[in-house]
Amino acid sequence: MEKKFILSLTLLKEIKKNFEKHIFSLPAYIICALLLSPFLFFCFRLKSLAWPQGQEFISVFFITVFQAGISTALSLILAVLGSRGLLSLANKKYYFVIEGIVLLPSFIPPLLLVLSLVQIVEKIMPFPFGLPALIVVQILTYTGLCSVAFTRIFLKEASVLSEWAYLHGSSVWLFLKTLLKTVLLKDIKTLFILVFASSFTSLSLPLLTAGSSFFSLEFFIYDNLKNPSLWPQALSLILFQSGFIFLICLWAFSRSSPADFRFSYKKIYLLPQALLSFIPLAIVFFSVGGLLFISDGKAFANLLPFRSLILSSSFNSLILSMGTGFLTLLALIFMSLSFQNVWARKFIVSFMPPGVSFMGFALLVVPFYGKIFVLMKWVVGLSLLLFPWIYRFQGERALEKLSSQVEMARLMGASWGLVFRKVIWPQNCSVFFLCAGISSFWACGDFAYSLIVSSGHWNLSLVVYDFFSSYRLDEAILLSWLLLFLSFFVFLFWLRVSFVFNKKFIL
Amino acid sequence: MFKIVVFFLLICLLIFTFYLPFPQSSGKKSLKVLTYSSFAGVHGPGRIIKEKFEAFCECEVHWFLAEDSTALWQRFSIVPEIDLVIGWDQITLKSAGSAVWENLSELQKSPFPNSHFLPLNWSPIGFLYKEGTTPVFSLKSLYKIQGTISFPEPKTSTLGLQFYYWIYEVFAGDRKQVSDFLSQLKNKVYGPVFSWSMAYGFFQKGQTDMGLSYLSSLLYHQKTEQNKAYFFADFTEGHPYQIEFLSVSKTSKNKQLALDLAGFLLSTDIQQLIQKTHYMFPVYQGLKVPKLLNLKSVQLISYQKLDEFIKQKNELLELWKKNLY
Repeated sequence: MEKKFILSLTLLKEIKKNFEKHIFSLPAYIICALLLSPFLFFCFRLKSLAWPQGQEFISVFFITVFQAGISTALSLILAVLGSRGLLSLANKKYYFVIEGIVLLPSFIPPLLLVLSLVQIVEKIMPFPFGLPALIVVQILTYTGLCSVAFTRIFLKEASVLSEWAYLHGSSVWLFLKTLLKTVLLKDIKTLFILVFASSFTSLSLPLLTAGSSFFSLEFFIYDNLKNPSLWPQALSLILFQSGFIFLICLWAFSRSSPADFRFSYKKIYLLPQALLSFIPLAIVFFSVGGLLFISDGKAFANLLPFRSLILSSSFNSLILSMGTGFLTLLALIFMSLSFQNVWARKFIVSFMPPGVSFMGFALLVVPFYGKIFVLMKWVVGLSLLLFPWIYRFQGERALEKLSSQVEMARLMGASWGLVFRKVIWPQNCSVFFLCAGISSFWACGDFAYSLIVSSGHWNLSLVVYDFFSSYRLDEAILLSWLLLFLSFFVFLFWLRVSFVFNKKFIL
Repeated sequence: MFKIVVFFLLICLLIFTFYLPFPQSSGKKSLKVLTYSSFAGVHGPGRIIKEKFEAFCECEVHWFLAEDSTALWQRFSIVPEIDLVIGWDQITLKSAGSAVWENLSELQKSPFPNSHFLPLNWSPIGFLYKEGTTPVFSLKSLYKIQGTISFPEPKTSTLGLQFYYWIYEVFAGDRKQVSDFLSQLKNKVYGPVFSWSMAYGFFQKGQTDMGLSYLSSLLYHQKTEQNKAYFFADFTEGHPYQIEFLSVSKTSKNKQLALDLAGFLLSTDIQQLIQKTHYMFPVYQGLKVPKLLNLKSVQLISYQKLDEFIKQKNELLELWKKNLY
């Protein structure tokens, strides 16, 4: 009798354990299902796939790999040099301002970046449209981001090692070699994959710099999507593209992770090169500097009659941006709750979101077109587009760092809920808020996706696009500065929340 | 944590209360109109048309926006519940066929008759130049220009496709001559540029000496901007022209409303509005068109070779790419 009782008790415990495991896996499954929903929608709708005829696809694929590979490699090389420059400024009070400025090219709408670059280059030589321009613009877009990322990695992960190296009289070469082998390799790999995948799947940059030349697989897909009879072909290409990136990510991220370090902020003696900080700052000049001198004085007066529209569309942009940040935060919390679901985490790290048009079409058919529904479509679509990038860039890294702590807590009998409340949230909330900020910033500048589902409702980036496409270039540029300020405002809000939480849990 | 949740809930509540005053569904019929972004944009006539039409139709007009008119057929295929489409031109309407569209012969009043597609506005197409630059006045000698020219690409823009048809027509469809002309033009082209707005933006900002646009663009420069420094280069070979059409879906659930809106768009008031805000000419002879400076009547080219051009479109686009870039 007693034996039976113990057996049933064990069984009950087992059921409870399994139930808890499944319940806490559910949030990650929900996110995976949402991310896959646009693909599923098109698969159900088309019910057929077709492979492109002829050699064009093969040449487009190889040229895309080539341009993405070259852009990524050059961005990373410049970023390593730039980060050495930024390191020399890292202990200055105003460093966070420099960091913000350096990040600017990665966040501003591509249209503005290209316009600015054209304005500056044209002063010296004719703008080299085509493949060279595409590579240059991609380098401008990603070098700042990578420089900041490298600087942070150096500051966080190399400071202790540099102290040791300094104390033991190690040579710079030996220090760098050891650093690369033990700490940086995985980060470089992560950044490489991130920039490569981003360049590989970019639509707007190839379109702006090389027109309809097929230098990007994404543009080839976009071109196929324009003709409804080619949709089965477009769907096959989208699945191929996503599968290709998925496999690369799976390969890159499934390698063993390096040993974890205890972080502390110390000055790195071996790397101060103030001069090199000019690399990322020069990139910022090319990316936005041109916008400073193409607006004329009349533009401001011309905008005055539109002030109520600008105000209401700014408010919509604010809500859209905050909403996207909030959903990103929610998705990160969901992923944390499903910490044990390694499969789902690996899936999202390797997942390639579909292009903006594909996502737009999937949400366009949802039959609600009122203002609040359009806003919801904006927020949901942009969150689904941005979340995999954000998660790959910061989220997974933040979760992975806590593996051993979570394992220990679980061994000591903590439930997943408790693990989240006491281990994951206190240590990761500041990173999560920062991710929400990045997501908000990106969402604020989007006009390609917003336009598809807008149904006649406006946000600020759509107003900028409208001014641009109706002869009023100067006004568009002036408004784009407002858009930038708005994006910064939202980003700073999330940064502030991140700071408050960081302080709260550190203390 | 609790405070943060309360904070976010408050924000959500605030957003909700802001949007509440806008009724989402008033029980009125909903008319779904597909058009390209600038027609229903801040400066386009769409917003006023919506306002005026809703005032008497007891319906709600919902705009569906495509980034440009090359994407209209694609969008219509995604959302077939759309009642009315505005923005076809002579070339894009060929892709739309006629099977799915209502016959609109009864509403036709313009000199551009078409049974399923109703003309809404039009303008000749050509190159504009600014005071102080040296333009050319012939398509065949376009490559002799001293500076550079900008135009959108035929693959991504209807205006670019019209330009390509212009070349095709002037060289009588002879591929060898078209190919030679494109090769000669190669060094004078600023681009490739994918859209009219970008190509014309480069011209406005002085990057190029001549920019492809509409004759009616002068309405903007001379009437709205009060800038008299822009001129239209009258080419000896004649000019292509773009007619903008609308069509009503055969499967529309609000057919009568859609037909009413089509009729409303052809009223004198709305035609004048289109001219003032969309900078295109009205399709009806007799409506007053503002006098533009330094402009004589322009000669128009024939569109007899259009079907032949469309049949060969893919090969011609390949030829374009090969010779120009």
